[in-house]
Amino acid sequence: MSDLSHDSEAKDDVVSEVKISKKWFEVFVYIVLFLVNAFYFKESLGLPGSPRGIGAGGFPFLVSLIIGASLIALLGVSLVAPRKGEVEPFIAVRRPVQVVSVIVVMLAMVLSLPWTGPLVGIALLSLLVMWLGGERRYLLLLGLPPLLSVGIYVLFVLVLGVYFD
Amino acid sequence: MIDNLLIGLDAFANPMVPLGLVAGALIGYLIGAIPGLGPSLGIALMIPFTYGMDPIVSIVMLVSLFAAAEYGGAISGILLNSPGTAAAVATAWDGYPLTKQGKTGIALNISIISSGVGIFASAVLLFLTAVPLSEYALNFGPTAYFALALLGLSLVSSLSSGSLLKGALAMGIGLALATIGLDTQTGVPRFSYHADFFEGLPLVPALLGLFALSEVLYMIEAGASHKTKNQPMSGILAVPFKTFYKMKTLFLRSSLIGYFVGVIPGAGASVGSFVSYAVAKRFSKNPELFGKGSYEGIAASETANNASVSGSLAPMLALGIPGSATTAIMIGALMIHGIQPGPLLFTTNPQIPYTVFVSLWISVPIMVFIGLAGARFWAKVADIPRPAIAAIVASISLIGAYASESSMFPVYVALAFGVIGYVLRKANIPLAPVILALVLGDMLETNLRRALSMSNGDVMTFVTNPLSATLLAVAVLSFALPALGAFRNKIKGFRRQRPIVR
Repeated sequence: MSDLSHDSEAKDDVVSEVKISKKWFEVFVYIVLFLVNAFYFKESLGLPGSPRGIGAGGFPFLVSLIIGASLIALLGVSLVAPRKGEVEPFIAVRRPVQVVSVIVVMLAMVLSLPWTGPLVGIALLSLLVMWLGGERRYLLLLGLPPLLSVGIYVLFVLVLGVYFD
Repeated sequence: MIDNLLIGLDAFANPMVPLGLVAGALIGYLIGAIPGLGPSLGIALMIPFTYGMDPIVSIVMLVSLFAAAEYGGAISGILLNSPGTAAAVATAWDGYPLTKQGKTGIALNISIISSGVGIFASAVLLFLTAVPLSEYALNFGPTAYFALALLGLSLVSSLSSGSLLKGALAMGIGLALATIGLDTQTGVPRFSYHADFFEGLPLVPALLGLFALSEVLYMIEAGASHKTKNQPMSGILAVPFKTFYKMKTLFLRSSLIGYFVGVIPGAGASVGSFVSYAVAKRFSKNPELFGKGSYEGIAASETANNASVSGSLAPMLALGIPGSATTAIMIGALMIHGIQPGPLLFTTNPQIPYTVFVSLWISVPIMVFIGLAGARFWAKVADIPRPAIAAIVASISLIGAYASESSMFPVYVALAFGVIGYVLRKANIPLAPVILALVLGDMLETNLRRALSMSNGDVMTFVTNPLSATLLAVAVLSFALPALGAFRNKIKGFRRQRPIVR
């Protein structure tokens, strides 16, 4: 009989790891945020002002300046600051295929929810998330999803009166 | 005041209120005992279940969940040296060595009783400070409120992460997100390119995405977990009363430290427990035992981290300013029920704050009982397979987001914020300031505009008011002092690295 209290038998098929330079990952994130902020800044300038104090665009304008200043400083720190040690720090993403797959599964579940309904949607989502999370025991893979589905349905709909139209 | 306390006590005549307290305590223990999950994620996950509840029942459930998660965080720290919450790290320093000595039961007993003492004492402090604070805050004008909100944000941003700039960036991101939607004063649509955005970003789905779905992705990264060794629980009910009586001064001191550190926005339970632990070691007759299985070490850490729960509720209830991500999420939960925390809450809806005070006191024996009676069960909770937890969290988050408005838009928001939260965490950008700014953004902007409008656009109005000037000065210092410290350290490091030429 399968022991559900632990994962001693739950082994991943593939445990891979992607290492990205911390410096260049952060620079990439800052540049993306900088571009989004530039758009936010431009849009805030187009919002109406006020003769007394600041109007609808004043606060977003100030916020975009805070974000812009922080990003410029962070980019400066990332690009100009000297490296402390010999080994360059990195960001590790373990099991990247599974992480991306879970995002895709969640998106697919969300898009198909109007057709599948919450009961089937939750069951499918939990089954796939568990499988992608490395769970390989059939009893757990096939037992938890329907229980979770029914549990959430009972709690939301029957106990708390939240309806899924 | 006593009349209002009786109103709070009267709320417990509704059987759903004590039921909510017990449910919150059980869920809190469960969440706290699982390493990686914490009170913020627990409360975010529970919000969808409160949609159909009475506001009193939901706030009592969330407060007891918050407290119980801090209780539960110590369990995996003591058993596995893997604390369920950051606030239980100091507990593990002495709890785990006791486990290795075969004294798991004693360590758990001391941790649970100390947690109860911390909650009880700090709830008294909360009652004594929050009520006068709310009465004082009734006199605040828009300048003071703007300064107060800014102070809360800057403290959280400067304390929540190693990098001050990343804290400021996170705060900016949260404030920018808060400006999406129709402008509350003029009705002009801002950054709203679809009608769904007119009411602003839905808060609960954003919280679920940032905290819960990003954690799901981290769990997927970690893969399947492995079973831990079961520990014998001998001695859990055999700790003599005199052991606790000897620590009475420590309990009082740690409760005070935990409470007042908890009041400071951004400091939170973990800072409280570390400070309390260090002070306890300083005053202990046996400081050499700290780190090797000291009863005082566990008591100091657990008393303080639970006392900080009440501490963090003080600015939330009295001023409407959340001091941590957890209380920001709680404000979101209250807003769903149309309740705005702040000084007016004590006059317009006194049942809410006074029921919170009473529920904290009533929760103590319940949580101690649940903790001691269920010790074996809580010890096994850490063994729940990680992929199963990920599946449960993902399902509740997405369905909870859908249930918030019975439409698909919040689900898309939750999913988008899940990915954004994951990327921000990978880039070491803290999430707490994002959430705090998202919650406080509207209050900050409204009071800024109101103050400037009243002064005909004169920004000196913030400096001429002594209260707002003081608060703004502290806000500036909270950023400037750590920045100066970091700069000085860099200069020192540069001088050390420079070769000495003779």
